[in-house]
Amino acid sequence: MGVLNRADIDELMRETDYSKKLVVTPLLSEAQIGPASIDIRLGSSIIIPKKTYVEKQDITDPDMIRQVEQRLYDRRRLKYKSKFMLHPNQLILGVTFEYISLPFDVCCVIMSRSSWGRLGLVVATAAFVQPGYKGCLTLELVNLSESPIALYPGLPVGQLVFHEVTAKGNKAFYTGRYDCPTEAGLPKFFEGDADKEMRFWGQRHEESP
Amino acid sequence: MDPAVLYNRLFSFHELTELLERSSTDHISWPLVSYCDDIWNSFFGSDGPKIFYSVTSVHNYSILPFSKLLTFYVRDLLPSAVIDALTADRELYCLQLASSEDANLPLYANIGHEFGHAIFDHREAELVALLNSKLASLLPQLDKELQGIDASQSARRYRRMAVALVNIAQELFCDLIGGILMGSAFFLSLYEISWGQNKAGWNISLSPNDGYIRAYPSFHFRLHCLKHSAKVDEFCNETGKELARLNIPALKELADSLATIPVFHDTDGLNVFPTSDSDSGPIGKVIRMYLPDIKKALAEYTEACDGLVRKWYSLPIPSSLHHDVAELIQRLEHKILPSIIPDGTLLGKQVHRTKSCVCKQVLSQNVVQANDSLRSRHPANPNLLRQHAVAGTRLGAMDLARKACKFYCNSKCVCILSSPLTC
Repeated sequence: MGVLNRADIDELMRETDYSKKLVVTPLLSEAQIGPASIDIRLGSSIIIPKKTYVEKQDITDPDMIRQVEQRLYDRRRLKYKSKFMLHPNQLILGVTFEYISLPFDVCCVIMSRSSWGRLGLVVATAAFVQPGYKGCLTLELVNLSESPIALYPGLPVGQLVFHEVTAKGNKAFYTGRYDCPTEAGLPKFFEGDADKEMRFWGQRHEESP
Repeated sequence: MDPAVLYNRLFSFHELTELLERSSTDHISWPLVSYCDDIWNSFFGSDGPKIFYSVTSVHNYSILPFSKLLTFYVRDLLPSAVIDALTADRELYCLQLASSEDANLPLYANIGHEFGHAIFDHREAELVALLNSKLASLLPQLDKELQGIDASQSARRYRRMAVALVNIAQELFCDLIGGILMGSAFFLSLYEISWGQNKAGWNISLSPNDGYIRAYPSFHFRLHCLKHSAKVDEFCNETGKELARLNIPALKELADSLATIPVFHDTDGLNVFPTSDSDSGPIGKVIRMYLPDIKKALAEYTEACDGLVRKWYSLPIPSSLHHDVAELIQRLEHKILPSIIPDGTLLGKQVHRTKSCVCKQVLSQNVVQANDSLRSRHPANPNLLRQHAVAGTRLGAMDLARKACKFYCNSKCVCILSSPLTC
């Protein structure tokens, strides 16, 4: 599984067939394209988990998860030039400024930029993006340092590293639960057949003596 | 104050409070309203009246003069000095729009029409004077007919008829604003929102209080007037050619679909109610008699307003950009934000830089709205997930186009950009 270099990225971005085209938009500068990655910026939509006394978040309990979504998250839009302070050990969900569209034979990984990493900012814990994905990417921003970090929408906080997927004639398009999002998204645990399995394991756990 | 009056007034306060409660919700599409804020500021500036947004479940969009209503409801309850202090220089409107999950959200091009009401409020004197000039030859004839029916009642009936005509003219003015701002998108939205209603009926609803008289021209007549101001034929002819070359079946039909929307209004009828009002019969009879002449005058009035509005406000109009529009639609077809027009370079041509920022945001929105509305009317399209994706990308398109515009317009970003700013 090779990493795409600048020439490969360039070629895919200039592709005219939209089903094979790599799209990262809006790209404000060609300088965002590095030797083997594209820098991405922080968007203005964020979700802040509220401080809570909830005993636990049990993702095998759909009712609980729904309540958590409604009660325990605060959605905000940051104005440009305004800062948001990410405090030590705080997690927020952000979104990329850029909207991406991956061809069926390319996947990517979101990585922190090393300067931010050295400051203690993690930009993505669920970093893998499936081939064929379209949308803005939700970022899980965590401050692992000892002091607050000021974040401004528009700052380049991460980078995308692209990998070739050997499709072997089988065009596996992304059909997951996050389709074309343009804002930061809450987790969606109970969509799709895989989550019936989660419910199964949760119930079995309660039934056992 | 009489207790019954106070009791009724409390219901009115409750309605205003509900408006506020429904304005702080995740169900408002913030990309959409921030786009609307830009348009509002382009009309009224940062010192003018403000607007906030509230969710409604009604199959319509509407705008309310919130601060005026509040002042009206608190009269006789608070001292005038207190009321003046509360509302002085704080004019506030409320736009009610569909929630993010509502099937009516794709009809947001109607917001342009609603903004027209606020503009009409502020330019009422000039616009009514213009209307008077267009109806100058008709009004004496209408008065004469009313006097012929019953001279003792004609003054009141003439006054109420005039209020109705002003209301009708206001609706056409608002359609003009909607067409200027949203183009073919508003044309489609207006047609969609007329679903289930009698499209050939002019309606006048009388009230003992002239301020509560409501009057609307027929949808056919409105669409007829709008077709010209929104340049729908140009969109169909020129952009249609570009869409045809893309070889995407649904898009090939887009231009034809717009062209088939009925705008024939010669068989329009008029309803004046309530029929229990003794003025409804005479007013209805006189207006029906002169309806063709009234329509002609109103069409001329709308055209004159077009020139006035362009003189008052610098509103650039997208034109000769049919290739760009087709490219944007093609991107949307592939669930990619229509924010870039390919031009052979790596970055492409940013939509907002093609002409002016506002113009290009409108263009993107026109494109995506037109495409989305076509989908909703195309019975063979069962792909609901795709529609949902289109809805997301559409709103994201506006949001990102606006954000990118702000970056380019900020001089501090020059150092990180290789090409000169044009905005």
